[in-house]
Amino acid sequence: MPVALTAVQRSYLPMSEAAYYILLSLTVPRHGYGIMQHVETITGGRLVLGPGTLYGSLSRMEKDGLIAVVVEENRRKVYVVTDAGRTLLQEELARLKELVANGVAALEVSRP
Amino acid sequence: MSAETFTRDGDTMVRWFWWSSWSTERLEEWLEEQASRGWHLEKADRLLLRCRFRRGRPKKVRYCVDFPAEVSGDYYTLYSDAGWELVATSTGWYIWRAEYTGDRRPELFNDVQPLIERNNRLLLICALGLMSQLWIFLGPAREWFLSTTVGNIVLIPYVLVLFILVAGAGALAAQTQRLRQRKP
Repeated sequence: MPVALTAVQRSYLPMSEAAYYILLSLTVPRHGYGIMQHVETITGGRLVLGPGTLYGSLSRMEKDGLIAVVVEENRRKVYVVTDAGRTLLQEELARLKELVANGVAALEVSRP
Repeated sequence: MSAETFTRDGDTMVRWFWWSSWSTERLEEWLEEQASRGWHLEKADRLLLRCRFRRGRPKKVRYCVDFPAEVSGDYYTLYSDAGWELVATSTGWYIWRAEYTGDRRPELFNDVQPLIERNNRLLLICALGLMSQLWIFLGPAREWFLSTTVGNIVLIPYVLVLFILVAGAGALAAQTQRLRQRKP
């Protein structure tokens, strides 16, 4: 369910590729390394998240209320996206759809 | 940098390497060069200046010097899970390494933003150090520094510390500028 976003949460827009994929991965609960593996898989090996980027992003996103810790086991925190994080993802997705639609209209639609 | 010192069996080598918070890339490249020659960092002293290497097979190893804003338990777990090994640590600095093959050199970070934020934290430390030093000098001790013999002697290392702090802040600011230009 969409929620009102704070200015800090809005500052993530437009999202970096890393932030987008981290949030997207957390639509399902995952720990840090699980996120790395998932992102590498769905991008066909193109994007390998560095552990420094991931650790810093997870700490900041948790502080900013975009993700939350579900459980901590064996010194591994399992995170999931919050309602605010999901709202942010939907806004970013709408922006990306607009980019793609305009790109397709300008470059791929055949003209008479 | 001192000359190489070898143990009697020739399997261990000790070398000094002078680096600073604004030249971590130099340390990383130097450690990687040693690894490509078959010398792998085994231990470093508390200041991460005196490095002990053990002889092994020449390998492609990526070394990264990290200065995280905060460290919790999953910092170590996440880096280890990702295939990085912690080799040495001191006062907030961490030296990690990862072996690799091919041309894709592993990185801790996907972009330069965390490095810019690291430099900003270091700049703040320099600025706080500078302010406290200046406060000491401009405060009640000023007369003592300038008018007594002991004060004059103490002033020499004191000015040296001030100089290092100013030079460090300048180098960090210049490096941040270069990182911003590299930013996509």
